[in-house]
Amino acid sequence: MGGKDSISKRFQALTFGLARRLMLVFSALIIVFVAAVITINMQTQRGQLLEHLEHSADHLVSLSQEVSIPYILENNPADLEVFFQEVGSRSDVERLFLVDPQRWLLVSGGDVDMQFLSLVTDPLIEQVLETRAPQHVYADRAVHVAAPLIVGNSVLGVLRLDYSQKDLASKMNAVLLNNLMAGCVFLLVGLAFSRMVAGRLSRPLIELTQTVRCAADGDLDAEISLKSNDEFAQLGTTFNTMMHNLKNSMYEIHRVAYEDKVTGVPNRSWLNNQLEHLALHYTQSDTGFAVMFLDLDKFKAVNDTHGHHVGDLLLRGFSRRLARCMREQGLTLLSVDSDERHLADVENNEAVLARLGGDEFTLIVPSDKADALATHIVAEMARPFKVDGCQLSNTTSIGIALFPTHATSREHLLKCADVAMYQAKRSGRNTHRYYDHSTHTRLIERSALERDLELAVEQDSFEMFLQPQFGVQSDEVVGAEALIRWERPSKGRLAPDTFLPVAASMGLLPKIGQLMVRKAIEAAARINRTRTETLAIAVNVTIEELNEEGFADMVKHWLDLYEANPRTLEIEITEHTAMEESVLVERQVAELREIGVRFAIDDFGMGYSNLGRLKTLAFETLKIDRSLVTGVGEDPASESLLLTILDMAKAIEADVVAEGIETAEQLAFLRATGCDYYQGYYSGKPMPAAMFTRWVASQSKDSTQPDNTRQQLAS
Amino acid sequence: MRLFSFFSIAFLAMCSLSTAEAETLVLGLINDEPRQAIECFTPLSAYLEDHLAQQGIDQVEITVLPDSEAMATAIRDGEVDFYFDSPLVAAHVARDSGAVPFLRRWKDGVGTYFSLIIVPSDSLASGLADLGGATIGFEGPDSTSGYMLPAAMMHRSGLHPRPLLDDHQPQTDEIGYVFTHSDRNTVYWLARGMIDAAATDPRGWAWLEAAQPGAFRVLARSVHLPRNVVLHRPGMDSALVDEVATVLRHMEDTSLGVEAMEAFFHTTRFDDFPLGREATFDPLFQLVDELDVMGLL
Repeated sequence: MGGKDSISKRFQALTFGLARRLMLVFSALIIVFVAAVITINMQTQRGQLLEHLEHSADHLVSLSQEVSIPYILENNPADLEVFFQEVGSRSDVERLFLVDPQRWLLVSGGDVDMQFLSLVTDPLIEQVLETRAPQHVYADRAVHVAAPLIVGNSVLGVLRLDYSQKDLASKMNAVLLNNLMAGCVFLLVGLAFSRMVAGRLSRPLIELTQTVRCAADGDLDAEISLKSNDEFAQLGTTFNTMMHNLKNSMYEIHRVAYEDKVTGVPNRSWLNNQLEHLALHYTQSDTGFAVMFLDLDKFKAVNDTHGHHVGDLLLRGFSRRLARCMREQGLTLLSVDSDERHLADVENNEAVLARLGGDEFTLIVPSDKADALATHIVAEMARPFKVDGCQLSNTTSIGIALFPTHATSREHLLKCADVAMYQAKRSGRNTHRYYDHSTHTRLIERSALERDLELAVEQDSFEMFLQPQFGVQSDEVVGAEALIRWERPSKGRLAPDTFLPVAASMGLLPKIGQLMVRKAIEAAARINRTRTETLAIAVNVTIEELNEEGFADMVKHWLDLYEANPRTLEIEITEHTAMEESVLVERQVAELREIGVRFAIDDFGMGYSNLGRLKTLAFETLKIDRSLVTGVGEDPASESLLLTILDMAKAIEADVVAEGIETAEQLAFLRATGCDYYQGYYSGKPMPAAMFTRWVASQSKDSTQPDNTRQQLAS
Repeated sequence: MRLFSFFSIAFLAMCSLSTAEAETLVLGLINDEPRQAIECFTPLSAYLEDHLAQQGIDQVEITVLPDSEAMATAIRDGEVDFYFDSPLVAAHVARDSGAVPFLRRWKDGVGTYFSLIIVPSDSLASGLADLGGATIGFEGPDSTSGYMLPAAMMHRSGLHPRPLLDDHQPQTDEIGYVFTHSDRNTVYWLARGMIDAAATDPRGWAWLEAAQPGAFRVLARSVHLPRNVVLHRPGMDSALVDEVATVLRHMEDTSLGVEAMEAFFHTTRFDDFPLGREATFDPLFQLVDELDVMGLL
């Protein structure tokens, strides 16, 4: 195979190019023509020579007859010896001899090994003697002729000639040589001529090819100048017209592709191209540059308030002001019209201004100018913009990443600048920040957490723990609070305070809440299926969930689905949620309460409750925040506040659950004060729902030994 | 004869160029075919030219003459310095020109030869005397073995062959003869039955024997003669003659010499007369005189 490939490559190399192919074709035609001419000529010459030889042989025989007859008539064959030897010495005569009618050899010349007067036996001679006429026999290389010597009616003898064609062979060789020489001359002249013709024919094509190749390599200024008056010249003219149109089209495409329509500055693609090549170009250099990521603060509000038309005008004004700031810093801006292959020469203060999209802009500037430029831009952007009759105050936040200090690739540089810009925004906007790696790391971690959270919500990876609630006086389990836990892949189980704030910022709380409500309903149904005294499972619901249309219907659906008693479900809302005046919230709460679902105010004592409104709210339980319980036994003021709240709860006829009971002293205080229920590590830690189910079942069996139970739970 | 007239132009041209100047040696030969003779002679002349340069010979030329009279005249006139021929013709020319035989020339490995008279095997003749009424074929008047020797042999036997003119047949008491112009013709005529006897040499006899074994027989055989001889003109510088003799004698020692001799009518050697010049040539001169008297020369 290798051999075949090699031959194929050599053949391709040999036949590459029109001129070479034309030459090969011409050469082949000339060779065939020359070979044909030589063959025809050789055949013709051979025929002529054969004819000539036959004539020569006959002529020689005739001459010999004429010479011999007088001598034979005189019976003087001896005097013919000289003549016969003379003739026999000729190169074209193999032998010549004369016999008398008795077949005796009289005289001979050439290659005759018979002696004088010896008897000759020869078929041709016999034929002649029989027919009295000349006889010819053609052999491979000789013409054998026998002719009678006749005078009157008498046969005086027979001449016998072997005429050799050795001479023919040498003549044919000479003819062949001459033909070959003429053929070679013709071939050489033909090849030279074909080369010239092929070159002349292919020259315009070669020029066209070279020009097209230049055009293909991106040289749109390539032009063909053929002075001939033929199709090639027309093709050249057409090509030039095409290139002119292509150039215009390319320019338009370039503009469309690389110019931002709103601001007229280069767009993201153009920036990416520049940044990528700059990163490559300066990799081997000591020179660095800065990438500045700018974001127009509160731009969304402008769009929302004044419409996109004003927003676009603001962006245009922002970009113009940016360009001015850059020029004021001594920078020269590259535009879309610049050569696409031209890189910003940051060493000579060439810079790039591009819009990434939205209100995001990116600058590429010399590193040593970045700080001053950022300060200048922030100061300039602090002045209001007058747009379409509006006066808009939109500052800018700028993030700066340095090449190669912070990153060496396009993507990483932009990311770093972006991160730095967020750092600037977190620092209060209207400022600039350099990229900081530690902050970035936190952002990356948060980003990973966000991804995992999204996945966890999608796959319902959360786990429900239940923390038992006890009667203060009876010390019996009366319910449980559903608490969320999350087994994060490769990170272990996380407490709610480590991921719920992130989930809240991501807007995932309603979805997570729904999952927990469903789990709580399912657990309540399962746990109470075999109990005579029901346990209520309390679950936290946010204001956002309650404010979603259909929440109540969803809860009802799950209650039906799991065949749960609505009274076994207690929805805990925060004090803040309870204070929210929302018709939808109030309607959904009313719907749920109507079917028996209980409501509790969670973390009571932490917020600023409107006691008046609290009175009007419909709820069954007040859960006193653990912070109010912590001071029991240590802080008389805390105890006094707790007593007040208990009195208030009684006044509005609500059950009271004290959270965070961790000591016997705290429990004793609750007993002394008449609190209804409590929950806390003192009597029971949160546990997986399945364990809780088993524990509750064991509680009902061991209800005679509550102390043991409390101890077990506490462990 | 036609061929001779054809080559005579070349021969005459050569003769006009051949002048026996002091620094030039001229070799002479009697032959009906001057061109063939010159071709055969040229290697020998070139060889001599090379080997006689130190003796002041810067050129060796060739002269081919048609008969012995012309040769005798040329030798007498000093136009031929050295002459090669068969012994009886040489003796004839020597007698008439004063040329001096000094070397024997071997031909086809044979130093001596003789003449034979051949008749068909069925001939009734048992000796020369039985040839009455017969026609004998002689080669030609200048042929030693083909004419002089057999004619002399017949004369000494008291037989006097007479030339036959036209197609006349000899009387029963006489022997007629015809010239065949060639040894080949002589044996051919005998083979064809055109003549009753043929005077030839051993080579002619061999042709007949090979072609028709047993068809012919030898009727008479002559004495042995040197195969061929070399003569110089009278008055030649003896030192130069010795030098030429030395060169010719040593030709057989070198390949070039052997090649040149072979080209010169199959010569194989030059040597001195074994019996000495006088002992060899006195009988020959006598024979020539007899032939002359008989009118056969």
